[in-house]
Amino acid sequence: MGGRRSPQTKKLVGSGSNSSETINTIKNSLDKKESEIAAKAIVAALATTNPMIAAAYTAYKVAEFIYPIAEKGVEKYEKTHNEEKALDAMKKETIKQTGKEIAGYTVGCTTGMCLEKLNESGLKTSEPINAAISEAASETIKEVIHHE
Amino acid sequence: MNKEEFIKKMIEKTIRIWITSTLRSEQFSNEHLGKPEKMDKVEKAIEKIISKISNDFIIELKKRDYIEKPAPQKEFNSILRSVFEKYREDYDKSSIESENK
Repeated sequence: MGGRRSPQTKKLVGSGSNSSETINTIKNSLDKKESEIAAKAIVAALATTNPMIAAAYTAYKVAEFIYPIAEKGVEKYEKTHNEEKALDAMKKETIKQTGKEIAGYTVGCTTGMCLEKLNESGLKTSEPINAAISEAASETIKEVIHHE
Repeated sequence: MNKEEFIKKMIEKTIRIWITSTLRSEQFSNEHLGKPEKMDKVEKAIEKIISKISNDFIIELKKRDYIEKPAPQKEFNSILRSVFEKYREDYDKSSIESENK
């Protein structure tokens, strides 16, 4: 988490009339309240902001696309317990699904190609959404492959 | 692993990363990164809340068969908003109760 880029808050909470209120709620919660109460207040303040909802929808679309690819990786890993082979199985499935060749391969390649396709089909994303989705996809795939 | 679990994990992690990014964004980090212990505790508490919300949300998607077939964006947004609204109402109620004690 320490290496994550730090986007501007406005981009993350949106720019509606409620955004200043949301930012103030978060600031006050962090300043004055106990951690658990602050966490509840922060989630309540951020939960229904438009960028958050858009990020969740993009995650859902990406998950639908990546699931069969991750499944191939899991199958291979369960048979071989070899991460390289699991990644290779995912690479082959990505090529099969997208019809595009990939030179090197990381989990990020699949996510990137998926986001590209979603953008082409008219789904609007943003740089902070893409960054969050890439990190979430990478964590999810690692988790399901290793059953963490 | 099944598709439902995979979708839930993706949504849960994205929301958690989104909130954490907001807390660590330039505007907040300038003022609050001096208190890393509190931030760590807040982030852990947020993780638990998001896990509960994601569970409730995936149940709602499942009820409408939106694990197997794709959910239209408007409907997806509306289901998610109502799950969050429910959480917010419960939170408002509990904070009023604790203030009254």
